[in-house]
Amino acid sequence: MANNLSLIEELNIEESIREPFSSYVIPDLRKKKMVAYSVLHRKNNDILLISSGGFLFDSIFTGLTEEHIHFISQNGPKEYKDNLLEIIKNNNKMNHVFKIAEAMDEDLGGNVTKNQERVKNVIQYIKDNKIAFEF
Amino acid sequence: MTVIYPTRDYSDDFQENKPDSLDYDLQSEKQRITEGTEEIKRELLKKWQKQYANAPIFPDAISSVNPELVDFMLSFDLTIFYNDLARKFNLDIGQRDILPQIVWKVVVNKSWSDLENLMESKLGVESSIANQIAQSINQRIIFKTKELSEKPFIPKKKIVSQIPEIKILKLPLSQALQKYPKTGEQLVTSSPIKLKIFPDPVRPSVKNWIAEYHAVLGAGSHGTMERGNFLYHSDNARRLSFGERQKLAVILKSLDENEAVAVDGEKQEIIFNLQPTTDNLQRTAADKTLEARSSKLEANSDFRFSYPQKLQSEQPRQKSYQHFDPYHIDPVGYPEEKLKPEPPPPPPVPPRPEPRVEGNVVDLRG
Repeated sequence: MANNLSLIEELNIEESIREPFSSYVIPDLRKKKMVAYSVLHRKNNDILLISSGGFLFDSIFTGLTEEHIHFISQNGPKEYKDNLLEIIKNNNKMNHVFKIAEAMDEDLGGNVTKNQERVKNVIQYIKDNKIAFEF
Repeated sequence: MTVIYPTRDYSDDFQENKPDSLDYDLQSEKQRITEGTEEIKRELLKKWQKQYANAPIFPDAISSVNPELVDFMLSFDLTIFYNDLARKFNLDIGQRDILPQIVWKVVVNKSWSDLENLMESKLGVESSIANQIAQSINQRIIFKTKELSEKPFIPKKKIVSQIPEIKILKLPLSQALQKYPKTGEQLVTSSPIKLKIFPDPVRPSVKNWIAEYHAVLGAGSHGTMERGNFLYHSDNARRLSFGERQKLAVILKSLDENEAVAVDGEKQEIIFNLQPTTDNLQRTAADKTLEARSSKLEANSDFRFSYPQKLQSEQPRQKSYQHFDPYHIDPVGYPEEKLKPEPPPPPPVPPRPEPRVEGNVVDLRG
């Protein structure tokens, strides 16, 4: 590549774009929260650069916004949509998603539930438009 | 009295071009990383677009609907609208979830007049409530969708996955090497390997790895434990990355157990269908289990590799080094011996019959 990055830097950056969930092997709430934040701040185009399997991870799902899910519904290929449908059916994973969202809300302080509401909206959107996700 | 303090010029202290001991410029580093990241994103996007060029985005149920109509129905505002309706009419979670399904059904089938009846039957509400809900939905959604559905549109070409035909064969490695000689030259790992029988490092090709494997463990098949030991503790293999070790494991397993590998017949290449990253966590655990097991074997001095006395079953029948620590090299005549073909095993000796004892006479004739 014609950039000024070393090979290791390139590999690290590529991994953080495509597989941000690989930053942790032993899942711990703090690390999952960091991944969720990194997804939260991504632009719409960058969301689909995450590998489709990443959408089975609770930390990735927790970072999705209403804009992201709208973008995915209009531009996401089947693999992405299949995985999104699968994760919302998994109660265990959804519990973890809400734990991460709660931890993000605690960071904001003051009994705020902004992140938990955001996650609920994302889940509701997928359910409402299941016809566009279910192949 | 006004006190005037002498002004001091502090600019010298904070000159940006003043070299510090680490010669590190944070701003230019940030810029370098940002520019590099953007370039990587552009390249990843190109690869993504190529990978998903023919992938379906919508299922068949809505792929023939006017795209403008689909966009309207997928608007996030409608989710908020349904939430408001549920609150206004005290709908429970189940009823709230059914609402948009009904609306989608009416829109896709263009059965506009069915809306109120479906509300009443599916939501299980009184007809007056169903009527009010239907009115709200008509105003907010149905009028617009009717208009869009009547608008002429050029249907988008249905995007279908097209997987190019590749001639993939599944056959054991030994057959693959015979039928497709180029597979022997395929590189398995990235760094050169040091063969015991060759002074200089060589290409880490399939054939060279097999030569190293046989040099360390001996020719013939080997079991999972020996193979695992080789993969994790041999001089060349212990420094491999996880992905490289996976590939080597596939090669050696096919060699030992005649398991089929996938070969691209045209390119004469072995295809390693390594599991995607989401599975890696499971494989990492399995990997660690195997590694732990191998370490335990080495640490346990009662086991056969280092204990001087051998069990009956471990008595060497052929070459002694095959049953010792595999990484111990017998320097005397080892390289030459390895290059010579293995001598055939000695014919089995029939067991001697027990001598018959009659009184004080022992008959040894058998």
